[in-house]
Amino acid sequence: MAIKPVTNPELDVEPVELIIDGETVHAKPGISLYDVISKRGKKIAAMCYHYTFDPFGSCGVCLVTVEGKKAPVRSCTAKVQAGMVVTTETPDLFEARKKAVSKHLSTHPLDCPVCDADGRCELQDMAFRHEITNLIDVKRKVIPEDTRGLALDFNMERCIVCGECINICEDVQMINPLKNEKGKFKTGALQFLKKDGAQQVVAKGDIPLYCEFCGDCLAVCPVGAITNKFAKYVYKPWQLKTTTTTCAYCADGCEIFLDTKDEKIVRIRSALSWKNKWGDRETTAQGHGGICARGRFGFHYVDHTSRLKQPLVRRSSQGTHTHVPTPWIDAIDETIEKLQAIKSKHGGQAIAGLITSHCTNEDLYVFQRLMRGALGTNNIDSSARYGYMNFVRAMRDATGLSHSMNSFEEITKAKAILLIGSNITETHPITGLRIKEAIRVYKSNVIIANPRTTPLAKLEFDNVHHLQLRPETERWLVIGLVKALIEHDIFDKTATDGYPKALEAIKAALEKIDLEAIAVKTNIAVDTIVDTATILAQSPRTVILCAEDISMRAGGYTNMLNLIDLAWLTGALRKPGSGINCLPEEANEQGAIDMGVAPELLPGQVSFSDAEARTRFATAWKSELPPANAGAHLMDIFDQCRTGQIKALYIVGENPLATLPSSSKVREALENVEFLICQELFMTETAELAHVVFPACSYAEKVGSMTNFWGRIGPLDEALQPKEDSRPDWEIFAVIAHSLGHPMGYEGPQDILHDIGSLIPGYFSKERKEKTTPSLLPYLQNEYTSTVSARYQNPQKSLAKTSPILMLGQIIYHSGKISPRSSALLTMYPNHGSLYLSQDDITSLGLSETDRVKISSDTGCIEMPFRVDDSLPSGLTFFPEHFSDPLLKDLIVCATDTITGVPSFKTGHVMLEKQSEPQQATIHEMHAPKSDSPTPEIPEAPHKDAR
Amino acid sequence: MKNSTRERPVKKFFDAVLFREIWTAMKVPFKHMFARTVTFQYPREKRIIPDAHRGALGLLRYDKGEGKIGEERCVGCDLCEAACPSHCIKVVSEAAGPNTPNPLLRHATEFYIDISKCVFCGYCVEACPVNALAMTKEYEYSTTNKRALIFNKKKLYEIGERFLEDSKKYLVSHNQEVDNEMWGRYRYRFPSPTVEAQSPYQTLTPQSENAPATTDTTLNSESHPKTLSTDSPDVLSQPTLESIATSQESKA
Repeated sequence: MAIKPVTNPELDVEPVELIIDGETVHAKPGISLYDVISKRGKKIAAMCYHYTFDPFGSCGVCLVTVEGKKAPVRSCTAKVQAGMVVTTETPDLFEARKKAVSKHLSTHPLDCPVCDADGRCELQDMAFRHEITNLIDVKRKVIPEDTRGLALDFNMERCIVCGECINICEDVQMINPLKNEKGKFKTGALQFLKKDGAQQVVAKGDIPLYCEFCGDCLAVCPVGAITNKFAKYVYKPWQLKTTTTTCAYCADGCEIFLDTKDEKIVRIRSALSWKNKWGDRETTAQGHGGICARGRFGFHYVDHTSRLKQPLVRRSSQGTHTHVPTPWIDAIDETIEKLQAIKSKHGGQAIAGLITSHCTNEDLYVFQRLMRGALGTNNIDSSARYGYMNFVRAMRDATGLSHSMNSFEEITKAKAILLIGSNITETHPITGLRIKEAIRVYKSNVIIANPRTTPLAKLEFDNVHHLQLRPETERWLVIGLVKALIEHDIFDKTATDGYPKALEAIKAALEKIDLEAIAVKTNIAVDTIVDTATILAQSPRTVILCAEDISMRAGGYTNMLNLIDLAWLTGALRKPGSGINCLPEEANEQGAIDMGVAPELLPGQVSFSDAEARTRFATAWKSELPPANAGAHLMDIFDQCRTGQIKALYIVGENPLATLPSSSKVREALENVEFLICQELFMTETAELAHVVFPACSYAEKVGSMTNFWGRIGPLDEALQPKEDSRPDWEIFAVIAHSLGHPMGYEGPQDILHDIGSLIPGYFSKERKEKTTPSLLPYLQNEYTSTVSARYQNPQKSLAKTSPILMLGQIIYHSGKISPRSSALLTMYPNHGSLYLSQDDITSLGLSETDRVKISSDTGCIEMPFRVDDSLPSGLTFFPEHFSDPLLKDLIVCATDTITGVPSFKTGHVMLEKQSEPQQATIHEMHAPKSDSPTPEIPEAPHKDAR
Repeated sequence: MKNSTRERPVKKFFDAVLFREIWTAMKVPFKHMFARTVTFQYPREKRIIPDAHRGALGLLRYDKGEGKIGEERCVGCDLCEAACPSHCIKVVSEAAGPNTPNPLLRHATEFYIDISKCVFCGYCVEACPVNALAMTKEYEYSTTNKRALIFNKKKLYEIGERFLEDSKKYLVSHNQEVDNEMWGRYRYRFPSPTVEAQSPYQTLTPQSENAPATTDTTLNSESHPKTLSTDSPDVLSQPTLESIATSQESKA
């Protein structure tokens, strides 16, 4: 579309004058007249318009009169010109709009009572507003309803051919990029097709719709042409109670509306809808208000019948043990008894706690206060340890910041974006949309460093550069980029101005680096590396985004420091609107860091050994803190459980047995613990081993807050009452603390909020950016010179062909292990149990359609069917990390970062072989791992699982 | 006053002997003894109820001419629930689902009217777009069990069937239907679906215990708490006063 949005920074023209309803207005010529009118506050009816995509002009309702034109003009497609005189309300215009709406109504079946959009339909509202009571020339379409899609039904009898669905998919979601017959590059999953005598909306190619199911088309459809298959016919909008809350799946932290009826969630709506179409175009840079498939359709686990409803206590009889439902009072009594016994006999350090980052800030805060204040232990950790901690530690050590630096708006408006180690459209789809807007609207240079041809890399725009490096070579690419900056003298001189010694040190460290060797190792040409470095250094706003493929590695801490070097030398740490960010997977990992759930940290991003902070917290909590510089992190906790040092373990929402590979010996650790408490939504593998299981609330039943990856606080509100006897996590912690003799005095989440607010001043205020300026001085002036050299090495020249790599990763439809419990998400992507291979590998292994593939490593072998995935390079295999059948995670050996203790268990080297004779899909051992156990390990049988 | 009994002792004597006051007072009752009675001897005699009378509610079906039972009219649109001023109607709707002749048909799987709350205003009948609800002339459904006054779907269709004539007359008298209209002009036509949705991926072993238990995607799963009883006791077949009287007479 030729019409540029208001905020395109490239539109560098002088504003002109025009007159709207008698008032003089200034606006840039060439932009849509409708935008100018609605920005002034005047809302004209428009049925095919939404501020997230370029105006389309198909409905003919947004008519205004322009002097000099005989007929009323469609204001959305009219371009602003100097000297226009526009009138927006006249009786004639009302009649003209009435005629336009009647035209739509006359081919629209009056299905209102049986339509899901009844009560929330733009056509209904327009018909009412324009007082339409008579229709002439009524003609009804007779078209079958397209129910082929997995989540959405297309009732084309109701379609008014406005094109909102097609446009939003094409302009905002930009999926499914294809070259049409003219060689023009088009995106979007939907198209118009003249079929059965009428214009219909179908999936491209008229195949069953299988897309990312973000539901944007469902949200913007002004009528009931696109309906939600999972909530078909079961509600009318006026029966639903709406609660505004925050999605708890990933770190984007999107606002969602939970619609409930009779204490069950019926559907989830996004802020984006046909009703919010008068938003300012400028706001799209802060996010277009949409959500993803997980957020929209992934709520069925909340009302699942197998939710834990009562506390369970393990009772053993005749060698077997069962979990017996017990009243809260008895379960708590037993817990307190055991905890107090262990604490008095062995001290606080014999107790440890692990909590998930899917909990709210309030839960996390109370948890670490319980463990540190009441139980006297610093052996606590959260799931932020699975990768994000590397970024946080590196950032703290180098810049003093403990969080990412850029908001959605800054990412959208950056001029150069480096995306490394992340398949962002699968993990953080809404941030991915910011990058897509940066590509399409702001024409930023986006460099995607990923071994796979990710959906983002498939967008063949001139400003998208895909560096298809070899798997597991991300760190070498970063070293190469830093080397290129120094070698070709293209680094940002202003950034290095005040730090001559540090500059000398890094120059010396890079002397030995050989760009050719890096090029061979990563399979990226030297010229490409230099060009990339140039783009990053010379752009006025540079944003670096990384994620677990580079952070969740042994050596991830060093990788992060190298990446920070890159950010420093390209000026990303200095220039406004630039910065370095890491994308944590879970919703509240930043909150876990902020609430101090790590042995190194206290709430407020201060160090645990900071004397002033320790006094402040000890006074506030009225108890001693455990000694400084002591405390075990995640992997150390398991080690100490195995050795018997830790006797009591409190696991909240985590499922390490299903997450970590069997070679990490988590089962031994958990079985060795004297007292294991699990606080969970469902009965997981870990909870099966627990002595006491507490039922917790899901996010829809809690009040609290979550912090997304760039620091925005998303509030949670309860839409449902807690299921039966389940309780919010913070309440359970507070009760335990109270019974241990440390009353916290929290009557409700507001009290916790108050506490946090007083101990971390300004945490919940909107002006939280006071600490986003990185201060490199202490770092660069002190330990930098001595440590930098060790971080820069040449890759080893290995002549042997590297073995294939198995990668467990996330897919767009799922998150963790809880999403398979949502029937809708499982319908979209069930566990087909096949290994993804690249076409090259299939050919080289000689696999035919009916063959199976045997994948093996030192720790086991599995034979399973396979599928082709054309995004994979040869030598890389993929399996979604959400399914435990087959247990591919056990083929990988966990490697731990020596400095931060971050475990890396998502990638590993494997061997692939062809398996011709079909065998049963069971896991059998090839040979025992090199451990002391005499019998080979039998991997855990697949269970109903959750994380 | 002239002619008062004090001055006429003879008249006074005869009035007392002949009970004159009583005969004066009895003039009206004796006159009425031979007049036509107006009292209805309920339950032996019952009033004639006009067609527009608002009695018990019933759900109708599309009958097929000879009075045979056809499909249910109700499409589960919830408009009656929305119109009811007493909030005594509860509807749970669903699509007919696969393996039915009209899979996208919308219908009510559960329909409750709490007749003890109903004020018989008739708004629900007016609101119904397909004339599925009608009011009958029935008023004899008193019961000793209060639960029986929550009419479920089965009960409502029974009433509709039993009093089909009256229901039709009600609709006609309220200008909602034309006399002798059999099929109804207000029937919704549901489109046929193209094909059942298929996942491009097949599950491993759909029935294995390895797969996580899935729950129904609609609200009508077993976990949905039923707020009202599914089977209200049969109210209208309980003995009426008339039948009790006749049975007592026969016993006597």
